[in-house]
Amino acid sequence: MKGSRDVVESPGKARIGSVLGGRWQLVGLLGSGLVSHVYEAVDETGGRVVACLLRDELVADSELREGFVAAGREAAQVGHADSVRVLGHGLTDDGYPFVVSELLEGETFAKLVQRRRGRLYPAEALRLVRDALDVVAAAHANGMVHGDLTPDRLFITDRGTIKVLGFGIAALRRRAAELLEVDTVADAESYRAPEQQRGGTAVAQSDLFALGAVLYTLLTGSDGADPGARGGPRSLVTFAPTAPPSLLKLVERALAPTPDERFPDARAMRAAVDQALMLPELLNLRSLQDAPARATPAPRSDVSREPPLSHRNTLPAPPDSEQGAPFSAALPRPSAPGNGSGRHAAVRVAERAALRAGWRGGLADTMPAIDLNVLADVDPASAQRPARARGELDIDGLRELFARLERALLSKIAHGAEHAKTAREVRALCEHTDELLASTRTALYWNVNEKGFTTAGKSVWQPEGELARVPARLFSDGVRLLALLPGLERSELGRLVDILAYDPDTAASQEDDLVTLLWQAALPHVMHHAVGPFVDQEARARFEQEKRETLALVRFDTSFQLEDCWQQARDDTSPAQWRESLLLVLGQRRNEDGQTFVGGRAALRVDPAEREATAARLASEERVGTARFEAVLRAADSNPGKDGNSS
Amino acid sequence: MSATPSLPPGDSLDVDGVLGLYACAITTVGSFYESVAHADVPSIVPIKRVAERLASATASGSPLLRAILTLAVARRDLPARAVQSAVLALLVAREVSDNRTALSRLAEAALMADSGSVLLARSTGGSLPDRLQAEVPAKTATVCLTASGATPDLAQVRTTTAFEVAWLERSALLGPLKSSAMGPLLGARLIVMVRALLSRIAPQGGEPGLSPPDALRSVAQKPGSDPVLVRLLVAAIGAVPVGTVVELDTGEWAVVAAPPADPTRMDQPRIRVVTDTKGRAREQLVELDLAVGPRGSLPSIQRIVPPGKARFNVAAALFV
Repeated sequence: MKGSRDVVESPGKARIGSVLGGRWQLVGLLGSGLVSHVYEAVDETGGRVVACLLRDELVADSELREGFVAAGREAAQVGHADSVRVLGHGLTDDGYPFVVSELLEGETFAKLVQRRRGRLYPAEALRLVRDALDVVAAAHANGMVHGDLTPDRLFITDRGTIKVLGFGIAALRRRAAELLEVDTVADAESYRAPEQQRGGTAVAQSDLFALGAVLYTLLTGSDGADPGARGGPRSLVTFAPTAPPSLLKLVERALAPTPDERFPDARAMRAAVDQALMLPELLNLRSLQDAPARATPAPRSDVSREPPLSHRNTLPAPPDSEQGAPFSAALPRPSAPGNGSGRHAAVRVAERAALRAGWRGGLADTMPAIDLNVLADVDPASAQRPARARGELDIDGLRELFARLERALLSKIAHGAEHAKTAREVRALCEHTDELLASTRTALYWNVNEKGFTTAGKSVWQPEGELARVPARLFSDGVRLLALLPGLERSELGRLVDILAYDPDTAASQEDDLVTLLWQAALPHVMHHAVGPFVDQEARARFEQEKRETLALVRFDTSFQLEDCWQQARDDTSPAQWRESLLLVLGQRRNEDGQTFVGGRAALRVDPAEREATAARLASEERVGTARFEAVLRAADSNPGKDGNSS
Repeated sequence: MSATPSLPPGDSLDVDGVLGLYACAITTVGSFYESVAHADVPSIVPIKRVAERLASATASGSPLLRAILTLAVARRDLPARAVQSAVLALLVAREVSDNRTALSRLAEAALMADSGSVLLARSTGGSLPDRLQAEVPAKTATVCLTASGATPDLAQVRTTTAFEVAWLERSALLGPLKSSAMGPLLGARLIVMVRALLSRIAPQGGEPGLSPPDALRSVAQKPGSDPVLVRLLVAAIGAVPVGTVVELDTGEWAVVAAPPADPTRMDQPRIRVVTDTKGRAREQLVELDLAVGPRGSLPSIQRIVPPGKARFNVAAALFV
């Protein structure tokens, strides 16, 4: 990034204490930018906000004065819940324009990269840019282009929301720079599209270029792709030659030299980011440079030759899968001869299927469960391949893992979870699991059958004697896939051992099936998939029919009736005082004497003490409900109605 | 003023996934009730799986789950009502708790709450006379216990909760539930509240229902209603609940899509504008958050359009 000349500090502090628009009192100067002084302010309720005032040196310029307020107005029109909320704007008594907006708690992307020393997980980087794209897409839909996106203008709040700062301010910065004789673009040059570099107007695709450059920075820790560099922007492939081709292609397309070559709009780029987030090889990858090597490093010319997803081999939905869609997941390209990544295709498909089924996604666990058992023999040929190269499964290592698991399970059953021997065995298991996860650089997956666990068509665990019930129980309860993910903690493994050792015939527990126990445990680095509720074709057909009918119901277009309804409703009804009547009922509170009064809007809020008490009460119902159960049993036995009520 | 600032609807929302889950849950509960009606011994396992998935889904915060409220008018049968009430109860409980065990128990009880009615209806072929209504709570408990197989002690909370739901809904006939000085279980009261809301919006007899705000007001005014639960319900679905058809001061019609983040801004929910100022259907829906931006810069809700006047597919506006 090139250096920029510091702007002259103006006496912004003089305004502290003054009140803007009769509502916002300035309480401190947060800083001064090229265009404005930025203050912390409080509103009449004590709420903290940010107020920006045009710099003193610029206020004489009518273009800037008008543009400043217009920019504030424009920022309010972005039309996305995560855009910065503009609370007001106006003129001070002495004619300085100001804009008041919400105070953000968090940090900019630039600070984040700096704090993490450039080491963001690739999936994390993609998610940040995806969320920024949502805001930018909304702005573009309203005809607004940012034109000045940099990691300094993208903000992640403490609650994880992405905010895009500085909408409408790009032109102001240019004008202010002219007046102040500073280099306005210096700090943003790496993120400016070539057409802007040449002095052209920013278009929607210029913002996509900037976000591509931001993604580049987040992925690599270095500045943007420097489009101004001789020979065009640096390709991500020079930094991470083994990165997944589709990710390279995504960045490359966003950074294309002309707008026409980039994504047509922000939504298309977001879709590409979403697709990249589905790449199993990115899961838990700490850095792109750690990506497992592919057959050959992907030179840029290879990237464009990658076949589109829809042209790759696909696995047809198995006849007994509940949900065809997850099984339509694209298979990875066939391994080239000598390709080091010889992991069994079934396992890789399982990864994709699991991902597509919503695991770790926004709607985790909402899709009907999928049966991965059928995937065990997808590619028998690849199962014969010796597993030796980095990233491949180490069958011997897995067998050792299960030997240690057996020792931990037997100790748990014999001595209990708290016993020192059990802790020792779990520790030994954990150490070996860590080694395996580190050497495979991906998750460990097993198909579960009634006799044991298999990987790549090979049995890795088939316990006998007392432990034979472990896979049998898992299988009968519906578990078909179990996986351990990098980052697995000892406490999680200990809990998993507890669950696997669980015997409902002897254990005192409220649960009798392992799927529920696994679900309740919610172990972040242990994944399982279970068969769903539809065990026969008829039930599955009914589900499909139900789903078709539900979809048809919500897609039934009645918009043609709207105008008639609107006209008729208008003729005969006058606006009701619905707010007051609702508040009258919903806003009721009780005072200490138990008398009801209307507390107004504030009474709609559940106060923290009420929340806490309600949560505690809900959690205690397991115990309370059990205590009352005897009474219910008597009711069920004796009957009916009259004396069913226990007293 | 026109509601021009827009967010194209449907972004990043998985309609197919939510509706797939909804259909999956209805099918599962339908099969369960069918077994009950045929006096077979149903298995609790599918109900547990559905309850767990619904509990997971409500953790996603997807506004589409709230939109399931709009499907209540179209599907008023017992399995659908059970699923709708489970989703609503979970959304309310999620306001205060992320305890997976408690949430799944709550959903299980909501899904099985009509078991007793279904069992008894097989002998009458339909509506139950008072004599049989009085038996419903006990029969509900019987079904819950039977479904749990040989280990009824595992089913205690869901059985007790379902029993109390059945009792509370018939307290006019059976008298107050006196099982404890603490009063009915919180879970039971919550399920009864959301079922009451659903039955006011979409009565099971098929007659026209109230608008969602009127239904909410009616539930809040019901004698014995718990004001904290009502406030949690308001936080979950809004004082002007999701699915309400409103008229803006611009003359445009809109459907409430999500409650405001701050419940005190009750009349500033997130909406989808479905008509222009002349009542013509918009070719593309526009989504607008009435709580974003200073008051006066955005349209405001002028009135609630009664369900009888809003004769269009409200669900279609939310599941785009």
